[in-house]
Amino acid sequence: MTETRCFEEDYININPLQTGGKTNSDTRKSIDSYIDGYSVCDFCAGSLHKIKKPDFEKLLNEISQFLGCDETIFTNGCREAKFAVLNSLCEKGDTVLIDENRHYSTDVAAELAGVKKEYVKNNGAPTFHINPEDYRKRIDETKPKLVILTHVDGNYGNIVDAEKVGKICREKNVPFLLNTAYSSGRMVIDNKKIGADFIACSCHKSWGVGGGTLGLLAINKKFDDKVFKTSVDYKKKILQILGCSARGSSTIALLNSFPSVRERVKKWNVEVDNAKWFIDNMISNEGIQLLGDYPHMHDVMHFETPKFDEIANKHKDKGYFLHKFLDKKGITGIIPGRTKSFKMSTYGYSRKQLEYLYESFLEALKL
Amino acid sequence: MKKETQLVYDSLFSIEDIRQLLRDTVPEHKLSKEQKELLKKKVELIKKDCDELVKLL
Repeated sequence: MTETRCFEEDYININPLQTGGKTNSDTRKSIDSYIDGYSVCDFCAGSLHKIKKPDFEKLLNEISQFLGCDETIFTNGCREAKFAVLNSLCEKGDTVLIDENRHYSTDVAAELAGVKKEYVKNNGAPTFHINPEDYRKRIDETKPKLVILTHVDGNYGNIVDAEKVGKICREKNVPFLLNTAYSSGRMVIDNKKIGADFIACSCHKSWGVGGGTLGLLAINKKFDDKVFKTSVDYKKKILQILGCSARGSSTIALLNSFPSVRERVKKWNVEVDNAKWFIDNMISNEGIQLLGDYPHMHDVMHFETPKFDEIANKHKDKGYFLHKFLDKKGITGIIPGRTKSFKMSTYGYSRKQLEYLYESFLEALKL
Repeated sequence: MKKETQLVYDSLFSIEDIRQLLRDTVPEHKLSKEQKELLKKKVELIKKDCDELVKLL
């Protein structure tokens, strides 16, 4: 049998990929009886998003309301949601305009769809900020078929004003896809204000979902015919998701995590306060700087840490000293061997736990 | 659902609640008074469910 994982039971896990996807006990309980292959299809209604037992149809309607969109379907992940939009909206050779802070999967999805990629640059180190107004100029220059914005990027945890980009896209009459992998499920996303045409979500990243990968694609009805177009031969099967997408327990996980997600987004200000507190303490130490926007408004953060690199050069464990030291303190999530800079997340931890975390970093600075 | 199956799931769910206590208190697992009470309650439930299961099967 595979070695049992204990990162969430024995450690403070600060891996930014994982903090928003941690499951609660109800979610894990719900998965138990749906762990067998295709068990969500006991009462198949012809397509996954129309199943009424378990009531996925109702869940997706509630999620559409929660996000402020017209319709939502499951996808295998956020990247598959982005690809579905790219593949259905664009012809080969069309141009799409993307922010420079995008995840690599946006590029890969665009490449597979055969489109030409143009970028809105960030302002470089140390903040790597994306200015929403830059979309205006770049739309005029590149005449894109689709605009993509990474609402919160996974490198720096910068939040871009999606409302401003949405407004520009409406003025320029360009469809707008918002990648909310690090925002929806953590903070309130109100598309009635943002005005995006498509919202891509990552449930295993930010909606407390386990049991597999799961994404969501929420759209405005005017694109229904194109993006949710069904097969000629199989009228209930949406082409872009090859009929049905995530046919496993991750959908059950979402069904059971969603009530807590709906509540937790209301407490986003607590998460931001905790992140700010942690950052301010960290950067008060010589040899530690924040990369990304400051003041910082998200739990994902990136530190440049020449001081830790200096210690690594003298330490017997070299670059592994930090990971090894933190492991002994019951802290994990930083890539072993990294000391020049590292990414982390404070999401879901109490102030008391973050105090412990900060004190552990302070101890590491004295090694 | 048959009684024996229900008992297995009930035991699993109680274990899952205990697992959550570990998750909530990382890394030192210093449980509050309420958390200790919950732990005892769940352990008693598991014992009771497992005893009943043995009698049934």
